[in-house]
Amino acid sequence: MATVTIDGKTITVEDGTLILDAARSLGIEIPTFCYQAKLSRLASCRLCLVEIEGQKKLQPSCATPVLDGMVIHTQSPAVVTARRAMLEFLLANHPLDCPVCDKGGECELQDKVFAFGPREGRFTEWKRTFHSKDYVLSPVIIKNANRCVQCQRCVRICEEIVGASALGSIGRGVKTEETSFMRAWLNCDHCGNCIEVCPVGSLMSLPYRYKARPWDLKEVDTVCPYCGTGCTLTVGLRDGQLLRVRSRRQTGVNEETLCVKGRFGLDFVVHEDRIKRPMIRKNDVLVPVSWREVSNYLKERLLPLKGKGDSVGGLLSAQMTNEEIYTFQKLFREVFGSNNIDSSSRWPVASEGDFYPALLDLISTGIYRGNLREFLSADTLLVAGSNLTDENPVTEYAVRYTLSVLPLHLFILSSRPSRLDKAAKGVKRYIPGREVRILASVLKEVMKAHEEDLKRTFGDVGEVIQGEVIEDDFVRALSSRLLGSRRISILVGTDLLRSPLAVDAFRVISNLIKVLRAAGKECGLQFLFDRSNQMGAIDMGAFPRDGGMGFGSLLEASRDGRISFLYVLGEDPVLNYPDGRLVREALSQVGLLLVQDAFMTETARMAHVVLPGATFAEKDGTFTSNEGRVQRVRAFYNPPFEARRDLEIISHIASLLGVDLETDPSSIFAEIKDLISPYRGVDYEGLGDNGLFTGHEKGVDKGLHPVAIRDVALEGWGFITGNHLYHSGYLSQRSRLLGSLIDAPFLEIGKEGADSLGVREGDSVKVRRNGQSIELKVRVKEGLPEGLLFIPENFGSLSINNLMEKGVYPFPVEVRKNG
Amino acid sequence: MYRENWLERLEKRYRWIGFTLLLDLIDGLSLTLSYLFSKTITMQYPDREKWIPYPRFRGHHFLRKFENGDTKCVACELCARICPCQCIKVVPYEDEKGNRRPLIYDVNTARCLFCGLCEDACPVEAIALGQHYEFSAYDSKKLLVGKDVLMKMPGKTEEGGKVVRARLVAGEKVFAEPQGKEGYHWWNRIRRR
Ligand code: SF4
Ligand code: SF4
Ligand code: SF4
Ligand code: SF4
Ligand code: SF4
Ligand code: FES
Repeated sequence: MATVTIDGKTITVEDGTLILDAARSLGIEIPTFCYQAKLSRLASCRLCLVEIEGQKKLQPSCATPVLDGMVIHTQSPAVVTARRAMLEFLLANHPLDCPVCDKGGECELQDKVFAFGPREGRFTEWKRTFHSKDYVLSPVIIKNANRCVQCQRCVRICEEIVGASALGSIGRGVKTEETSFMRAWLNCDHCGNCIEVCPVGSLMSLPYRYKARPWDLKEVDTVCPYCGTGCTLTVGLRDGQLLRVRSRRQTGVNEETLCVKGRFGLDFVVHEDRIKRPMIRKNDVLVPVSWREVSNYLKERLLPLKGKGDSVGGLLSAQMTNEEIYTFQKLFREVFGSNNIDSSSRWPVASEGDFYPALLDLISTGIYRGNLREFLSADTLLVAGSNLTDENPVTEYAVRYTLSVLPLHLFILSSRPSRLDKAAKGVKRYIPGREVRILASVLKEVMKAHEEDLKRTFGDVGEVIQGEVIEDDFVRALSSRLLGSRRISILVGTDLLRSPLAVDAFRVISNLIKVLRAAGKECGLQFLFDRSNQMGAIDMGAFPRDGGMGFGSLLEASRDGRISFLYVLGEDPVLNYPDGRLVREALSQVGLLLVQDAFMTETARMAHVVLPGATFAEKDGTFTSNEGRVQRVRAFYNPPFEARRDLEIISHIASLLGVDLETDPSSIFAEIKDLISPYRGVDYEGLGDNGLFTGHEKGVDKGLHPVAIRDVALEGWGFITGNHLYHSGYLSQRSRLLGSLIDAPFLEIGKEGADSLGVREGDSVKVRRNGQSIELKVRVKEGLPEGLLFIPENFGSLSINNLMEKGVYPFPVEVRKNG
Repeated sequence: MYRENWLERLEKRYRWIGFTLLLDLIDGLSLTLSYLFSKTITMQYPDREKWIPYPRFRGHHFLRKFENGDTKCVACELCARICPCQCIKVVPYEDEKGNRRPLIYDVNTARCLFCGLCEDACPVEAIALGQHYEFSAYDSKKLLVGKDVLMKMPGKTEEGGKVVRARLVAGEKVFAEPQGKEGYHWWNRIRRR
């Protein structure tokens, strides 16, 4: 601990604290430019100079740690003069662009010169100019190098946090230009984080170009609707039109970063494909009708089904709010008396009956409901079954940041290569269906080393793992690392959830956690769900319980004509259920298919009744992120046309059946708080900028589950699917900007695979299965295991689920070069 | 304490002489009488004459243009920001040449108090208050003027302050149309003693 005096105030801080941070915690503001929390220190702008007694020269407070007994002045005449001089230097080459610059009004240079700067310049030389017109760097970035103050925040964030390393400096001295290589079009993540951190108007958002001034914008804080990372974001509206999205400093899990979907992909809310009014199928066409007519129709059809639990079912999207999900399951459980509810149509793919119990067991055993950053400050991190870079980009940023500041050892077990691989201590590629063997081998090693502890905790455990284990470098490295760690964190991705052996994988992981805990280590897991409220959906009970049917069984029952009513809320299974034939066949056999959605999806086209719902932009409520963080979703639009908020529609349907359900999110949340134990400590009104974490429920420790190792064989080619960085789900498909970043779906193939097929990047190939075939462009991806292909899901135009079949993963296919 | 001097005391004492002789009345009437034989001062507005204001006059807004016809405005929104009545609305856009220009530039002249702050704030001297003042309307909606109108509005006068001969135009718009530049300064016709 060090005690320092800053401007006459004394404070005691940890050793190694920066003078800047110490001053800030005293409420003393020191201006900075090149300093950006969480980035490496550059100390190049010299704006943060302070005077330290006993040292002749002024020191940059953003890079100087405190020493015990230091006496520091931040307002002395020397400091004030130096600060002014530094600003004068910056202005010497800064163009007088404020009137035309998009940053005007929120520019750090403007603010600082206004507060500390010289009132006039003395330089009479020409200002250096790189170019006369702004140039476009990417579909989202436009650059004006003349305005750059060389703080390198963009370069550092792109390299250290995003990991894209797309920007760099060219030239030297005053002629340094921070830009892409050769000023060429950037082929990067288009995340826009460089724009966010640029203090001046040098990197600017192209979609927001010349649209408004910051003071025109009405800002609303809400949560990203895409993935489960749950980034907070602030939307800026002018005259009711969404103009831009920004993140907030040091707020939420994302802390000033966002990925491309969150920052630029929210324009789906204004897509013209909205369902405008209720529709009923008459003579095989969907005819728009009034709410009154559709209510009468539904009442007539639904009343006889009240309490007929077995013949009804519901599927809802995990992008609905907690309140909607809760009300939806309440409608089914209490009004229809049915447990046939599901919140994802993409998994489970097999062994449906065991899936949720195993998942819930894993959750109650191992989940860490708490800040991701704290979760990551462990000794070892295992990422299992996810291409983090594409699926949960901001979680990946957090991992990358943690790796740069802590001695965290990262191990990746994933089918898809990702950008994090380079930073990992161990990487294992596998063909889905073999993950259980790998994990079980690790478990076995760990158990061997801790036999004594296990005996003490679990008694005689017997043969937990049945089957042959493997021994390779990865297994050895990971298990010895686990043995040497005190704190272990596991991130479980959607690839594991999709696996036909998901249940076994859950059991192995749950065993692993229990074993490591028995050995006196801290161990926890978080999921990497790719839907914003998947965690909430599970918490709210949107899954089949007590013998209910999951979506896959519901489809099979429908195909056999046993389902008279299916209610699909905000999901598009026709497009994304991994068995195109089954889902189409089954849905056409349902007695009454009710689809409630904001957009005209493929499923809605098959429906008997379509109800116009709302997007996340039009509703209030809460999402629960992968961290178990409950955050407020706030409406910034009104539902257009005849659309209604989903909560209102669900309770309207209940009211047709004579049951009153609450429609006010805060009262529903109060009910959730009473009934669902992790939410006990969460108060709707108390959800501030950072949300609140749900609590841990005490799991019933049932000892270790025996697991029999099985393999899924794959012969020839097989493809897996998942999210692409620019696309996840049918929402992103309706974002014009995201659509412009990637024009067509593609097929990823490993290097050796490409050679053996004789194809090169950009070639077209034909992928065939069961008489169905699609054509795709090839992208060669180094590191995909042999025999494995990757095709991103959710490209509506493609219907790749025609090549998929329930219970199989990866999907075996034939691949041929086209032409 | 104020003390009257001897002159004031004298004047007070003999004031009754002036009252009895009606001296003040004669004095006033003689001025009136002399105006009877001088040039008219009442401006014949709008039928025959019109006052052309000074360059500093703050009349209807106008937007300055470049020679190629583009507006000088760069849509920085500073005028809108400074306006105490919030009667300016600017929405920028990027024009075909890549310049920042106003897509919308509306002034609500019904709310404007003609303070001229917008003119002061403009960094490129685009918006200014000109000489035009005959724009009253029967419908307040007509007082909301857009970019196109502002770019056609007359600017500042070169030499103002004169009353010129004019003709009343009473069509859709009612205004006095100046006839020639020659005019007179009306205050020259005021007699002072
Ligand atoms: S948009 Fe993102 S990936 Fe691209 S240069 Fe900027 S920070 Fe790097
Ligand atoms: S472009 Fe912006 S963030 Fe990058 S160095 Fe220049 S001023 Fe800094
Ligand atoms: S990481 Fe996920 S939650 Fe965050 S901005 Fe991207 S899609 Fe949204
Ligand atoms: S003259 Fe004054 S009130 Fe009128 S528009 Fe300009 S700033 Fe506003
Ligand atoms: S008139 Fe002047 S102050 Fe107003 S937006 Fe245009 S350039 Fe800016
Ligand atoms: S902020 Fe400290 S040197 Fe730039």
